[in-house]
Amino acid sequence: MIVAATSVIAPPEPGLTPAELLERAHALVPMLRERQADTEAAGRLLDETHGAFVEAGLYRALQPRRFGGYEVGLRDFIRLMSEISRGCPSSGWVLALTAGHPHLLSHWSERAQAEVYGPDGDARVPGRPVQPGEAVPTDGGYLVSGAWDFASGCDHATHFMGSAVVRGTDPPRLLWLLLDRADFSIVDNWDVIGLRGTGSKRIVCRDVLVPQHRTITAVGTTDERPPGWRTHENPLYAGGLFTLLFFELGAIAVGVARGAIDVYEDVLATKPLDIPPFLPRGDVDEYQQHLGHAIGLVDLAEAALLEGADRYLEQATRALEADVPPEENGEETRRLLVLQQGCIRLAGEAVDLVFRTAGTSGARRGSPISNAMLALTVMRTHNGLQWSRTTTNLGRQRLGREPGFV
Amino acid sequence: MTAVDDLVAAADALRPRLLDEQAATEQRAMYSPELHETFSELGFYRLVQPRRFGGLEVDVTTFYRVMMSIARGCPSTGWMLCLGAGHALQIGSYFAEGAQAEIFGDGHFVSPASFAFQDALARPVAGGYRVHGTWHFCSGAPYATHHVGLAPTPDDGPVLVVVVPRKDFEVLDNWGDLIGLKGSGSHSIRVEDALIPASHTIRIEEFLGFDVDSTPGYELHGNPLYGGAFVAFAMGELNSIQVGNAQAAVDELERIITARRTFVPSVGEGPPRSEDPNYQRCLGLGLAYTDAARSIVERCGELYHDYAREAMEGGERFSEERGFRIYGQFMTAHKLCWEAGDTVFRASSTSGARDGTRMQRYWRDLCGFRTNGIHQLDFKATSIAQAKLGLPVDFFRQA
Repeated sequence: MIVAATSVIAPPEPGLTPAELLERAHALVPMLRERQADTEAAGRLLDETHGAFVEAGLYRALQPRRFGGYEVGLRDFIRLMSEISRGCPSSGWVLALTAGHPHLLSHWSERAQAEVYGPDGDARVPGRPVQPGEAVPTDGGYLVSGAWDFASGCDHATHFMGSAVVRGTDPPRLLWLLLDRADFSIVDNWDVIGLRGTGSKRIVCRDVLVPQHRTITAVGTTDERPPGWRTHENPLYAGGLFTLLFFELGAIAVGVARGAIDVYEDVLATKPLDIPPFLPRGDVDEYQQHLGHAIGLVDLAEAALLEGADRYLEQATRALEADVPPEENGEETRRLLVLQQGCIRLAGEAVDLVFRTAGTSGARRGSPISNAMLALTVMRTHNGLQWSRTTTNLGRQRLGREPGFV
Repeated sequence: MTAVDDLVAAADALRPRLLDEQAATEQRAMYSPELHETFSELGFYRLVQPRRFGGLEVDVTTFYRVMMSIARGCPSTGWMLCLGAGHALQIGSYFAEGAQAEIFGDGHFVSPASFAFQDALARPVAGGYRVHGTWHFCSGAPYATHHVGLAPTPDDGPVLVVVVPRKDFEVLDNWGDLIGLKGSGSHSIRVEDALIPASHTIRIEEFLGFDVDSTPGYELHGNPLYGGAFVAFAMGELNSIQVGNAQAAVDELERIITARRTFVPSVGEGPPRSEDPNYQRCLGLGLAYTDAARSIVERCGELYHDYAREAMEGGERFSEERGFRIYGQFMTAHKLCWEAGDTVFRASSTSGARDGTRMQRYWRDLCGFRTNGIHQLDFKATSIAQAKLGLPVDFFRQA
């Protein structure tokens, strides 16, 4: 398909405001909570839920205006993704990781972006920047083979962003590349204990011809400007690539924790203790304290995340002024990652408190509290969320030593 | 039967087999009949059973060490064995000689104990009680010879602990739907209508064993092992399993970081994770936390003897405060175990969270105990303070 690079696609509801989007997300929460058990059992985002996200315009929240999106601010994006995660951790995860990827896509050339967004802007592009496959140079591009795990959102994807090392390069040159849906298959190997409903399965492709313009050198491994630099002139798309990805995770963590607290409040209000004299839990000093503590932790996490969003935009604005993309491995970027990890730790602490004290029935598989706890736990196994390593790297950097990866 | 000195070594020697059988144990919701035979042969059900009735009468810390070792091979198995074997201490402590002789019988005694009753009642009749009810979370039920259950009596009468023989109860097939400890044989037990002699029941106050200067068991066996406040022992049982479970997770992290390599962008695989300071730190923290938790458990086992001996020899009694101060240490050990497990789980990468992996199982098993209402330090801290301040103790303050 050839699409003029200058094409402008109108969003489905041109007048839709961020506040209206947020109202829609809020209205979906009871339905999402209701469907949690079915979602986990299905091992993927339910088609009905996907349909509701499409209808509400949520996938297009961060999508550039010119390609049919609503291009909301980063604070609004975080709030939206949190609100959906409050209803269902797995559904929120798929939405946030998919809806955040227009930022990733904005690193490709305008031509590649136009192809992916197609005639109507209906695009969902999961990605896996690590676990590279192999790219063999050929006429006009590369023949790519690879297998990429943890492809959250693959079930409703229109494209996939994979990674591959170019054969014969030394040091190895790492590419990121865009595959059409017809070019890859999905292998269901998603068997992780939490976030079952995300369907974060394996993507496989073999000897697929990927045109040159559908590839970029992996961001963070080169000083080259990405081909899509400044295609949108909004600082939203000009900040650190990984920084933005971790706002998605932070937003999910905050929302999941809020959802757990919702259920906890309900338990404290309705479930008496199991032991005579069967006091209402809400009368017990420790429960009162725990509820307040959990709310405080999540408020802190959210406030820090939103403050982080402002810092991201300031950094991006300076980058645009200087016409130089932010340094992916720089101290400022790493400090934002530490801040994001800290938010996730706080949210995790709140969920842990709720899980531990909400009674053993909350620990049954499929209960919302159990789902929340499992979601935060699995999230915290993420390679990019290892506080101990990232803080070490920050310290190294501050001391003038070379930091390691992440 | 194993010599006392060799008990822990015998438990350690079972580890490869326990590791191999983990998945099958979960599937079955209990350890295998063959393993049950092995435990019987090694004397693991007789550890705290009185010598007079065929037991080994080992000290509390040795009992804990055996259970930590078994749990390190398989937390579910450790839990089920420990809770099946440990209640011999209650029978040996608080029941009269005749009842002990009848209950221990030929010397093979395995019994869960549960306070989680449903529709239970002990109705007084000539010679004893007619008992019915259902008890949940009866860990050790599958190979049990007896069941120790809490039961109310009519008209707000005393709350009793009753000992029900195997012929009078049914083990329900209802274990395995919690997130962890799926193989711990914690099925429910149903008693239709059993006639239990009065001597096979005691009031809950006697069963808790606080503030007494003598117990039937101490008089009979002359060993302070049988003169303590059982609740302090029981919390150590649960924590022995937590320590073994956390140690198992730390072992697994060591295996993973030795086998797997780090990721370096644009290069792919880097050096082994074991050479990376971040993974080293996670392993080191796991070791430090579990070492400390183990020390707490071992020391509290000694305190149980010390406090019981003092009480039985006319000194300070094994008061609620002493009991709760031990309890508080155990709950602190539990926090360390959780911290260790959580740290090493997160460091094992998302592949450690996949189904069928040991790391996922260990973490689920730790979660299985984490929501236990009576084992929450933040709730029990209030009770500890009340005991210290000489105020009425809210014994069942819990989540």
